[in-house]
Amino acid sequence: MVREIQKRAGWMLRFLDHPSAIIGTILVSVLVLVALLAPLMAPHDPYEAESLRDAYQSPSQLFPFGTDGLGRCVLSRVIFGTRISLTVGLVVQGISLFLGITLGLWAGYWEGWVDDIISNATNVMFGFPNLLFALAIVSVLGPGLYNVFVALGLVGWPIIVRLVRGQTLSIKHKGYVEAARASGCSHTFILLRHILPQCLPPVLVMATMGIAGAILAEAGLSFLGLGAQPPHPSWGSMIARGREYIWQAPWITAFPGAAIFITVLGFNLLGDGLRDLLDPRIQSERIR
Amino acid sequence: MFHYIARRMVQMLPVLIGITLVAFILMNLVPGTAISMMMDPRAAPLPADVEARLLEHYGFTDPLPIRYLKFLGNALRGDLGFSFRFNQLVSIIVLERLPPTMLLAFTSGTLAVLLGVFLGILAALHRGRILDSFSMVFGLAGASMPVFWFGILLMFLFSVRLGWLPASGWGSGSVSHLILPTLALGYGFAAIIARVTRSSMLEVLSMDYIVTARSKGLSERMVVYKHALKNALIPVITVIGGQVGRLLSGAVLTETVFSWPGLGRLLVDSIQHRDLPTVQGSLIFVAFVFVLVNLVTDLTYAFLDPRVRFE
Repeated sequence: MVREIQKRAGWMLRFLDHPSAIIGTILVSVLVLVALLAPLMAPHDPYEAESLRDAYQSPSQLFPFGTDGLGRCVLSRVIFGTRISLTVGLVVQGISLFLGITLGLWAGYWEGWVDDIISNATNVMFGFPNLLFALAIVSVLGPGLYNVFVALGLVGWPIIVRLVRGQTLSIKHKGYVEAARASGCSHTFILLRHILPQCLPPVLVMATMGIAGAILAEAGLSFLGLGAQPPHPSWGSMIARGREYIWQAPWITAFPGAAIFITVLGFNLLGDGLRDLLDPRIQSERIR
Repeated sequence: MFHYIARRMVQMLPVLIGITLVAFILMNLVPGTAISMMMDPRAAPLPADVEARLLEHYGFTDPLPIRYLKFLGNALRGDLGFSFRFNQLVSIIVLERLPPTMLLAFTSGTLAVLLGVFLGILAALHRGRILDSFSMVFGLAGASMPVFWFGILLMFLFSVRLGWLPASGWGSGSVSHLILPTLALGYGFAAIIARVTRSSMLEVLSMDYIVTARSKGLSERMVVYKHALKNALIPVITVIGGQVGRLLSGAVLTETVFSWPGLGRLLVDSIQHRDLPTVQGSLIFVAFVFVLVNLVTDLTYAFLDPRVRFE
């Protein structure tokens, strides 16, 4: 018990000692709060302007980030855009993790022809540059936010499969797994109870970085006009619309871009921090 | 080495076939017939018998596996299909759009490798000091920067405000047109390379043979460049190969920002115009290039690090 507490405290202390983990945690928490409290924080309606006469207002006290071509408050739209980006990150990683962990455990545990099929499919998927494959899927499904979820979810799983499969292959011959099998545990029980938890730390790091990647990819697809459709305040599509007026109204482009940057940075920092904390190899280096 | 090359080539075959299969299936999931997609959506629909005859004429009535095999056979002969939008073979359109993309990928890749390796070494040699922090901030910012937004910022600063450089187009590859897209696309890539170089360099610098080199009195310059750097760069090569996919993805966005007439722009345009044969063809082409680049990376790796070959 005492050792358990010491272990936990050690983890916390290492966490507090790690600037990027702290900054990442703070950034991500703030973004989650902004997304949850968006209706309370946004000074104006993100979808409708009070008057078209407000179009292309530069930042002022009334409109801190200025207004866009329809007179909508850019700050309010950026605030509501947080909801879209975080949802994309979570849903996409949810799909990728579900597919990746299931297939990875399966391939690594059973090997044989199941593994051959899954590994070959993974290799084929690695043959496509991610964004291009997502583009192709969206071109089939048609533009729209839900289709972006599907497209990016289908793009994200191979890397998780590779990770989980490798971990499973190395864990399944360990003594405690063989002991569990000898004592009559079912395969499902062994997979979920003994193997999966061992795979989770690196998967957690990968998933955190994956959220950053998914948010960037959604922004890119929306920028190309293939993601969230108007009037949804997706940061990527705000940039696409604002780009045409960059000469008169650079703020329409600048603020949503900064929001993407900060969000992705937050998840990358958190992922970096988690990796340093969870990777035993780097830990020893830090102690040294 | 020969066995290793042969083995890797054989391993590549199912992947290449898989790529064509995935692209083919994907494009055949699209609702609507191939003929209805060629028609102007505002026009009156074709009489059913005319559409049926057209489908028959273009071979769309064959069962899917037969059509896939035909497609594969044609692809092997370099024919990736026909685009009704351009009234041209997809392979020809793709080859026409290839030079601008290759040029952009080459310049930004070169910039990224030079800048990234330089900053990575600098950071490793000044570990924990201001130069290290600087290059790490550079690296983190680059990994988090949306490439299209960075491109627009560069364009805003250097074309709109300062008027130094042209804002868009490729000017048949003139240097002034090339600078901004290269910076936009190269920065994120450079950032990743800098981070990998730094950690790889730090790892090598803590090895015993470096301690030996130092203790026998070699100059620091000799230790770093002659002993450490060569080994430190091996993992960097793998990362460069793996990140080419990211570079190609980024090229799509960069080309859109700068109206660069390359493959990425072609792909996006074709999606917007529902020109599926071109989408399918360029997707397969880019994926093949990507797989080949990865093969070359692996072979380079095996050449430089003999341990890999015997695994």
